[in-house]
Amino acid sequence: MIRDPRKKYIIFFLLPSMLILCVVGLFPFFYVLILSFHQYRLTWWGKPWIFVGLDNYRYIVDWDRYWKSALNTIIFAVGSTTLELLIGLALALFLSREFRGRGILRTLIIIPLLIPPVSIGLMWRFLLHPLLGLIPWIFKSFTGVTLSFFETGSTAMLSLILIDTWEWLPFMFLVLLAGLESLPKEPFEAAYIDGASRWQIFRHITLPLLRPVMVVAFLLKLLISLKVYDLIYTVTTGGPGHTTETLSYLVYRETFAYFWMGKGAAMALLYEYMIIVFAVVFVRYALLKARG
Amino acid sequence: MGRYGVMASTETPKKKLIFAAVILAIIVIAGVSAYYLIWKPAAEKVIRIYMEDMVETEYLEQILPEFEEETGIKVIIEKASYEVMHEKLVTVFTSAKGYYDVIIVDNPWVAEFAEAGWLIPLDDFLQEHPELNVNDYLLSLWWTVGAYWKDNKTYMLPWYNYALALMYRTDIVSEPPTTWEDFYSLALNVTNPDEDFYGVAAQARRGYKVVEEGLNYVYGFGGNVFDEHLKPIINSTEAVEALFLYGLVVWKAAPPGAINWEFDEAFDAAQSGHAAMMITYNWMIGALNNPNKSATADKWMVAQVPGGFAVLGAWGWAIPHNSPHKDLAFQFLAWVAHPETEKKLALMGHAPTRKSTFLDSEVNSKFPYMQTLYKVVNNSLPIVPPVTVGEQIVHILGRYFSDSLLIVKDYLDGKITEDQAKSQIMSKLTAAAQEIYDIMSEEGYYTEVFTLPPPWGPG
Repeated sequence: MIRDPRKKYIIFFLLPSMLILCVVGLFPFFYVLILSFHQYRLTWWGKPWIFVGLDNYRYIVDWDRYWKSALNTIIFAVGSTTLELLIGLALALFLSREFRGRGILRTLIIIPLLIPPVSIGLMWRFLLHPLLGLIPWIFKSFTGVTLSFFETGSTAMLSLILIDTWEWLPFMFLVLLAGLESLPKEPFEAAYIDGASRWQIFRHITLPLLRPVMVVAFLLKLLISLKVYDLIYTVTTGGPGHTTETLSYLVYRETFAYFWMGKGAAMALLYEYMIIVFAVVFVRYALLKARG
Repeated sequence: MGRYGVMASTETPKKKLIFAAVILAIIVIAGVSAYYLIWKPAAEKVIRIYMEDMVETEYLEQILPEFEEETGIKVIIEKASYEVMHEKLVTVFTSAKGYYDVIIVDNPWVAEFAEAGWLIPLDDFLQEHPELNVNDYLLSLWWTVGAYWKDNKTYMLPWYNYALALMYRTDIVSEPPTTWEDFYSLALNVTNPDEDFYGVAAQARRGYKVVEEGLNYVYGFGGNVFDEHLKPIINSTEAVEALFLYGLVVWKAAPPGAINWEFDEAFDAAQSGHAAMMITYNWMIGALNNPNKSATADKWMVAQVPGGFAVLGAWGWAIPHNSPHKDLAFQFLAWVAHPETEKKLALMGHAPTRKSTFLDSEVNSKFPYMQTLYKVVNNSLPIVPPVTVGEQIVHILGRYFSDSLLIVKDYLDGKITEDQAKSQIMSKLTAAAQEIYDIMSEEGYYTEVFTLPPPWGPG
C-alpha cells in the first residue's frame, strides 16, 4: 500500500497515459503476434483465421526474396548513414567555428528536413531525369555525357543512398553540432597550450569525447534508414529487377497491397526481432568501446 | 513552491476565463464544422464518389451539374492518385460504417472485391433499367469490368477503357509498323543519342508499367499469361523472344533510364520532342496533340500496337456493400452508364466502352481515329482475367519482366551470349509462373477445372 500521498498523486496522474500506452503499444503487438501464427487474407472477409503454427515463419526463412531484401536494406541503411555521419561531422566541425554568415548557412542546411519525404522522392526522380532533369543537363553541358542514374541495380542503389543523404544530412549535422558545442573546453585549451596540432586535437580529443554522441546519432539514423519505404516507393518501386527492394517495401506490399495478413505479420515481427538484436548488440559494443 | 513541488498558479481569474473561453470557442467551431462537413451532408441528398485523379474524372465533373439539377442529388467526388486507391477502398469496405456511395474499380481488383462480398450485384438494377442495354458494351470490356465469370453476376458497369495503342510522330514515321521486329528496326533507325532523340519513349519501370508495356510484345509473339483453364503459361518460348526484343528496344532505342520510367517521364519525353513513338493508353492521342500539354501537338497519330493484340485495362462503376445511400447511388449509376451520357463524354475525349459510341457519326466526325481505337479495344486482353490475386499477379510479372530487361543488358554488355540471355529469361518466367501458380492454388483456383469466357476462352 502506498502511504506517501505524493507518490499516490503522481501515480494517479500517470495512470491514464500508461493505460493508453499499453493499449496503443502492447495490444497491437500481441494482435500481430497471434496473427503471425495464422493464415489469413483480408479479402477472406468474414471467414475465420486458420491456425498454421510456425508455417509462416518457416516460409519466410526459406524465402530468398526476403533475405535479398534484407541485404538491400542493410546496404542502403549502412551506406547512407555512414555517408551522413562523415559529411555531417565535417559540416558540424566547420560550422562550429565563428565566422560571418554562419547562421545563414546553418539555416540553409536544415531545409531538406522540412520537405515531406514523398515530395523529396518525386523531386529527385525528375531532377535526375536523363533528358529533362537539371542535374544531367548541367553534367552534359560540361562533359557531353548523358547521365542515367537508375539503369542498373548498383547505380539505382547508389542514387537512393545519395538522395537519402541529402534528405537526412541536416539531422546528423544538428545532432553532431549539438554534441560538439557541449564538449568541455578545458581539454582543448590544454592541448593548444601543449602545442598539439589540429589533427592531433581532432583525433585524440574531439573524436573520443564525441564518440558517445556519434554512436547515438549513427544508431538513431540507422534505425530510421532500416525502415525506408517512401523513397523506394516514389523513386524505384524496388527496381530495376529486385535490386532496390527493401524489407519495409516488401512487407508493405505483401500485407497491405496483397492482403496476406498472417505472412505479413510474421515478416514484420521477424524484421523487428532482427533490428532489436542488432540495436542491443551495437549499443553495448559501441558504448563499451566509447568508454574505453 | 506548491505542496507537491508544483509551481503555484500565478494566472489571474480573468486570464483563466479568457483561456477557457478560447478553448470552448475552438471546440464549438470544430463541432459545427464537423456537423456541416460530415453529418449534415448525410441528412441531405448527397452521395460521395471515389475516383482516380485524372482527365476522365474531369470530363465527368463538367457534366455533373446536369445530373444534380435533374435529380436534386449533390455529388461529391473525392479524387485520389492510383497508387493509394486499392488500399483505401479495402479499408473503407472493411469498416463498420460505409463512406463512399459509388466507386470505380480497376480490372485487377474485380474478383477480389466481388468474392469478398464488397460489391452489390447489379442484376436486379439492370432488369429495371433496360435502357442501359448491356449488350452494347464491347465483349472484352464486359467480361473485364462488368459481369464476373465465376458466379455470372454483374457487379460493375464499364466506365472507360485504357487499352494500349501505338502513338507515332507522323512527321517521322510514314507508316506505323505492324510487327514488333519492324517496330524495333524503325525505332533503332531514328535513334540519335547525340541529338537526344530516340525511337521509343518506353515506360519500363518495375511494377504495372513494365507489364502494361512488355505484355503487348508477348501478345504480339503469341504468348499469354494464362490459358483458358487459368494455368499460368507465361514461361513460353514466345514470351522469351518477346521480352528479349523488348529489352533491345529499352536499351538501344529508348532514352537512357527508361528502365525506371513511368508514364510521366515517358509522356514528357514524347511531348517535348525526344521520341518518335510511344506505347501508351489509346486516349492519350488527345493529350499528345493538345497544344496546352504538348510541344509536338498535331504531329501524332494513333495505331494498333504491332502484332495487332494489345493489353487492355478498364475501370468500372460499382456500389460498395456498405454504401450509405444505396438508392441515390443507383440513380447516379442509371445516369452515368446511360448511352447518351457516354456519348456526351466521348465528344469531350472520354474513352468509350460501347459499340454505339465507337460507331456514332458525330463522335467519328470529331475524332477521325475513333475507328482505329475501336479496333484497338476490340483486339485487346487484360493483363489478368478477374481472379482474386490479380493485383499480386501484375506485380509478380512486373518483377520478373524487370529482371529480364537486366538480363538483356548483360547480353548487350557482352557478359552473356544471346542463348544464355534467353535461357535466363526463361528461368525468370518459370519462376514467375510458379509464384502465380502457388498463389492461385492458395486461393483455391485449382480445386476444380474452370473455363474462362471470351475473350480468354472459347466463344
